Amino acid sequence: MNEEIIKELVNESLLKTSVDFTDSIMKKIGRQRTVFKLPRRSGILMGISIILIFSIPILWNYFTNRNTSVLLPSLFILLVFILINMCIKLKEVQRMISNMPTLVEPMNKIGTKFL
Amino acid sequence: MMDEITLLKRIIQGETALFKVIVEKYKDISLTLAYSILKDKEEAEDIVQDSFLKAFVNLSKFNHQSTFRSWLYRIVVNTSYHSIEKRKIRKSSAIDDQVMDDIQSTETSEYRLLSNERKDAVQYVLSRMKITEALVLRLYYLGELSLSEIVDITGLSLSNVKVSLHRGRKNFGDQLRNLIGEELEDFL
Repeated sequence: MNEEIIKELVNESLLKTSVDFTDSIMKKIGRQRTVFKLPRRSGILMGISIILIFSIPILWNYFTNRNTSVLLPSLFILLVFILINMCIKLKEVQRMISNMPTLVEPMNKIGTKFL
Repeated sequence: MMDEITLLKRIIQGETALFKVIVEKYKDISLTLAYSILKDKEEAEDIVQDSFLKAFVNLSKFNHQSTFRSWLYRIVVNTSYHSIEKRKIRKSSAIDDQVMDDIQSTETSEYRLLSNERKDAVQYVLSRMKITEALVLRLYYLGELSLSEIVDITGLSLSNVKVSLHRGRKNFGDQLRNLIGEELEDFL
């Protein structure tokens, strides 16, 4: 049998999906819970950064022979660091929120109750 | 109409509604490939839905080393094979055997098949072939994939794909000839 004929016949075996197939998939996609996962490299860098941030006041005390509190300066530096990261990764946060309709809808309902 | 790479990037960046374009483009061929393996349309639809979900969830891991369609079809084929490992395959009930009896018993001198009977005959023949041969035929002709893409999707070696394709063409022709008989010329 001629290859062109085989091709034509095999193409006729194409099946069609049901009418609501695509909508069904898109609904399931909408229900996907997105867990915000840091890419591994970012996670490691963030971990190292946090350790360094807390160690700055400790090292400062050590080299200046002082005994000032390390907690407040560390927290302040950490807060600045997080804010900078959030600004840089604002798009990531927006995407995360848009992919979490299961959280957004109940939050909207609670919000409208108080308005 | 944006190209596929741009479309995939936008989906990964958060425009998930655009995934609908991907589904619409590949759903019918994916269903046909799954059906090749599972021989049950309902089950094939479920598997294809699962495959599209897997593709969506893992979209950021697609590294463009293969084409997107071979990556997607690989998911469909693997998910289908996985499914038949878990369940017994039901005997193919794709075509009512009565339809086949009707085709074979027609005695009109000018034999004209309705297009749905022709399609049924093709489905019947493909469903009776070995899974690998029917799958390779569909990937090659329906999916318009190259031999290397078929190797990628099926996990077969290049020589096995070539042999399956050659045997598939021969068996397809022979089985159709056996089914239709003397009216084959009119059928074609």
